[in-house]
Amino acid sequence: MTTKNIFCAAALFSVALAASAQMPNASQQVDSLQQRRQLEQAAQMMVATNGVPELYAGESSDMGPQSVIQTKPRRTYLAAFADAQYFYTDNMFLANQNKQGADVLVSTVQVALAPTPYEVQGGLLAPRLGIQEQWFNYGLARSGQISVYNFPTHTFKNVSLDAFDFNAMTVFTDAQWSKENWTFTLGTDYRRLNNAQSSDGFYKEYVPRWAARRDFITSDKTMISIGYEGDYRLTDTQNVPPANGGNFNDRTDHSLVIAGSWRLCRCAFLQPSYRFQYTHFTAATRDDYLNSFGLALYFPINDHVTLRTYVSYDNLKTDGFYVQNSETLNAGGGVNLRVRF
Amino acid sequence: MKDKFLLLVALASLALPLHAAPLTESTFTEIVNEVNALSAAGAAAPAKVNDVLKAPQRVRTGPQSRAELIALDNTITRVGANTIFSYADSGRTLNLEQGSLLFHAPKGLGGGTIKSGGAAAAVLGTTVMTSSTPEGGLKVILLEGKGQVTLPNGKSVILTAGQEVFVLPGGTAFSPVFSINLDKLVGGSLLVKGFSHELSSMPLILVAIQDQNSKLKSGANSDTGQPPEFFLPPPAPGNGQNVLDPATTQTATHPPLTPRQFNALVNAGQGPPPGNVGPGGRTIVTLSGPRG
Repeated sequence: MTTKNIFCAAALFSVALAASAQMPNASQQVDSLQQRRQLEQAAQMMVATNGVPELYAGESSDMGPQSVIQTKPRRTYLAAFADAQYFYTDNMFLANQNKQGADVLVSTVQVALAPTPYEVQGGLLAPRLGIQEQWFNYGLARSGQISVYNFPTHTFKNVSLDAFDFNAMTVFTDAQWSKENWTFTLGTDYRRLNNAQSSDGFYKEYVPRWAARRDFITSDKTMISIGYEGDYRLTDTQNVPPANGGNFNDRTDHSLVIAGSWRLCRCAFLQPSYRFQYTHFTAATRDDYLNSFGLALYFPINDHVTLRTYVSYDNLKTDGFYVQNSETLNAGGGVNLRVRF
Repeated sequence: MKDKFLLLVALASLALPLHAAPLTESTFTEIVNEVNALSAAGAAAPAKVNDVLKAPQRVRTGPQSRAELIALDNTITRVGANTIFSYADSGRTLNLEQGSLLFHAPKGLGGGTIKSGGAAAAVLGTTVMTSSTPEGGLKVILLEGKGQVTLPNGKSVILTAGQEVFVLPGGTAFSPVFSINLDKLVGGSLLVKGFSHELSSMPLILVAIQDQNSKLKSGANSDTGQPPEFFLPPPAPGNGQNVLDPATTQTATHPPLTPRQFNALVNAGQGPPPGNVGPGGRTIVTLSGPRG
């Protein structure tokens, strides 16, 4: 091991002490990451297979492999998570033409029964059961009037963008099993979308989901992950077109996710990502193809707080009758708070 | 060597010694591959078993080489590959210029002191392994017993069996104290296992290993094993408009209806549609283009 690598190890260790990077937008993944980090924090500095860095090449041959042992951290059972992101989208309605730009605030609060992972079959099993509430608020900074058609009253009227505010309530349970560089997830969600002003529900879905991911550590600063995510959405949609049932949004999603993680310095991570998602609607004649590109920069402040800024571009192709092909550009930032107890 | 400064690693039994016999010479009891004894003038001669190394002679080992020396009081010094070390003229001092060594002083003999380049330190202990680099890097691992490592600035740490601390090359501060897996360490250590006979302190080391293994088995401790990745996992849909998947988002903020789409909804029933008709989801929808 070179002196450079030793200093990289020291830098890694400093990062581990000072900050704990978190994934702000994938809470279950963050939980897993943080839990694993708690278990292995003492070994954060390692960049070689022997654990503690060698002072010079060949040292471990004479002294022996140095694998760090750690007293297991106190088991925790609950995880609380709060996140706020504020961004600008140039295409609030996912339209093909006449795009409507808007600033959007998405606030998330989540509480889960999420015990410290258990060792199962040589890996770590992390089960969760929780509830999440999200608030979507549009046009906080600039809310022009737009014309809409109100189907119940069959009238046109002008409304501000905040007329589209809504809430999403999700009850979720899942289990994630990680071993070496593999991670498998099996879970299910129940989600309900409500009008913010009237609290009327307009969409419900029950979503069994599954995922598999392989991480490739390419250096002490970089990692590439490739994963597959799948789900089946049993839906109940209000105000559906004539001759359609409430389940006309039933669908199955299959995604290929490729992401990189590049540690720029002790408190900054760059994460480019790409997602291809194929969606087949099972109760309607519709197939969607989504290509999504993202670039995010994360700033872990400490074990509990992470800042981020991001840009993303989404290209959606669809043959659905009531929807459109669309291109969307988003840019914004966010902060999250995470506590385990 | 720049900024060479003294590293003192004092090794001693915690029990007060009855007397501290000088450790100025030892006899080679085992030699593996290339081991040379260097005179004070620097002349090198291959070392042989039963040769006596006396201060100020030095030992220099080559790659994949090692040697064991035992003093009359049964103090053991095992030297690893690419190592240069010597005994001091007086006291119980070893000068470790670079490389690695294992040192064991039976209780009651006053332990020993090791000098090397790097941050000054002092350790009290029984069986210890240490390595150092010419740039001042230092690592100390206690195999059994209890000891102390002290830097010249007064900072010190206490080590017990199975614990390790190091100073990075050019550094002046300790790393955190790590507990390491003694079983794995000893099993893969040439300084422990790479000789034809067992260390006299092996029973004490085995006790420490058993204690550590019992804690691992009970689940009180865990072996972290391979290094964890310190990276972010790939993103789920979550930033920007991807907080929800597109089809779900479209139920909340539906794409504008084209005249064709609007007509299909409004005129499908050949008149005003019932209140529960729409494109799916919210009851208010924007329109694109002229109304049909």
